Amino acid sequence: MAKRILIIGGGIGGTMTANHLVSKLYPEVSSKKVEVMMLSNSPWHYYKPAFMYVAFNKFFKDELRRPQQSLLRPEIKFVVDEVAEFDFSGSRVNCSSGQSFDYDYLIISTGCVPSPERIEGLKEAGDHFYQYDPARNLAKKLMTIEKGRIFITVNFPKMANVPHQCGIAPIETTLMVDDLLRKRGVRDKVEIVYTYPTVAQLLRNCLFLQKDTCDVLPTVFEQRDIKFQRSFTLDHVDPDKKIAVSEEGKEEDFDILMATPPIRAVDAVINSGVSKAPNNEGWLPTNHETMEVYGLENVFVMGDTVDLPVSKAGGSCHSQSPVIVNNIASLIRLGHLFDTYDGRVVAIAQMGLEDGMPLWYDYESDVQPTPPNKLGGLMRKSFNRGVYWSVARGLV
Amino acid sequence: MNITNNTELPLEQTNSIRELSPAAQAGLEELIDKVEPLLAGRRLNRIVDVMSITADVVDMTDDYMIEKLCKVYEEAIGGIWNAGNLARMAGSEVRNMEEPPSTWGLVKMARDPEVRRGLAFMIMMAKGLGRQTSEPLPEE
Repeated sequence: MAKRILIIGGGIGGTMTANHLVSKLYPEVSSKKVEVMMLSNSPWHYYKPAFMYVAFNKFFKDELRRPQQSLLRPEIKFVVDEVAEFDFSGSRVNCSSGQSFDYDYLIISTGCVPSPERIEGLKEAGDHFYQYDPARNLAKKLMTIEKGRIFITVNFPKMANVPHQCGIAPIETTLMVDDLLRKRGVRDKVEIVYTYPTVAQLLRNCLFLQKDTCDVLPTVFEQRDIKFQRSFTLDHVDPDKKIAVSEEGKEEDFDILMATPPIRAVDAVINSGVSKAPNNEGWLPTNHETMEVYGLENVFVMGDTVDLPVSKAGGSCHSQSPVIVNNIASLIRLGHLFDTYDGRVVAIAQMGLEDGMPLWYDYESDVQPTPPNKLGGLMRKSFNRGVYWSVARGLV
Repeated sequence: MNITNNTELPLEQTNSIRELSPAAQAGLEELIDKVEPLLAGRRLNRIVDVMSITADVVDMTDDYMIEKLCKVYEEAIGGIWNAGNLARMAGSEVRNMEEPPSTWGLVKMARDPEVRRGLAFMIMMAKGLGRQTSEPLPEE
């Protein structure tokens, strides 16, 4: 009987891993000794970072999604269903439709869920760009604001040293808002205020989650007349008065509250009981080198669901995926693990509407900020529109 | 007007050129030896031209151009990738057959709904080809 590698989640991590597994294990797959199966709750694959561009009227919905099957090699068995329960002791997952699937190796790549409702008043009065519909709502406001105050907040998970979704996104969007308002000719009537919480992973009272970048940000913001505040940890929002209140006791008014909201793992992961994360966030205890889930046999995790200090973004999945593929291949072929993840994250930041800045870092070294330029911007835009889909297919 | 032009000063009076190590000095002289004939033959101008054209292309490229080029890229790569995958998978399946299927066996294979869907795809391709060639072209 074929050994089954079951991948949960049809995001970028799961998709590139499924394709890479078939490629790596092709002799076993073609001789039916290994089966690769993907379980996803949607027949569509969404390029999630493009939701950020939706907030600036740069992407239509059909431009940022593809049928999931069109991105998978034909050897992969693809099933659309929602995982309701992980039965780790029985090496099985149970789905909401009533179906169950056994596995020999399991890869959990279920992402995270933006949860503004976890801060009082934020869902009612705040906006974000991490999902399609909220991004459309934000776009309507950004395209029509004539004067007032855009207040930007960033909210970290309560678990120590775990970042919010896509570390660079709040800076990217702040600069994009500035460019957009200048294009619209209303920038001089709209104040932009960027804030960062007191605790940002291992840093305190900074403007970013890495020190080198934090040090250059005041200059970047001052050049654009963007106001900035350290130590604003959002506690609650008064939707009627349009006031954001911090844990440090400050009150700030706003016309648009653009927030990076709290996040959590999906329900099935939280309900599995494996996570030790506070605040019911659900991050799985992850071996930072092998990408196994601590305490479980033959179960791996990647992307947003890990409890590692690296960015919750596709640029992390891209470096974690080959490690998991190599480790499963070596388990099947040699009986032991083979590869280690060094914490590498690679991305191209969108620094305003036109410019881009390639960046990379790992467990040992932080991002070294370089001057953003148009060539970097073209690289990012080409990635958004074309190269991303090659990455998903496991070609890059 | 009091404009200081450093290029008119003797080299030893300027602070703008820092001292190089002997190894670096030797490397620089070697590089100058290499570049000298290129400069004399105006061939280095072509490199400057290439840089200039590259800068022009970067400046001329806009979001709309990126969108169209990337669409072509994705469709080309996706098409080749898909065709390659299908050929590889079909080849593997056929190689694993102990004997080639009989005529009746081929008919039985068509009972598989995925095979029928694939055949329908081929027939729809044929329909598209037929549509593109259905209009007779009259002589001028």
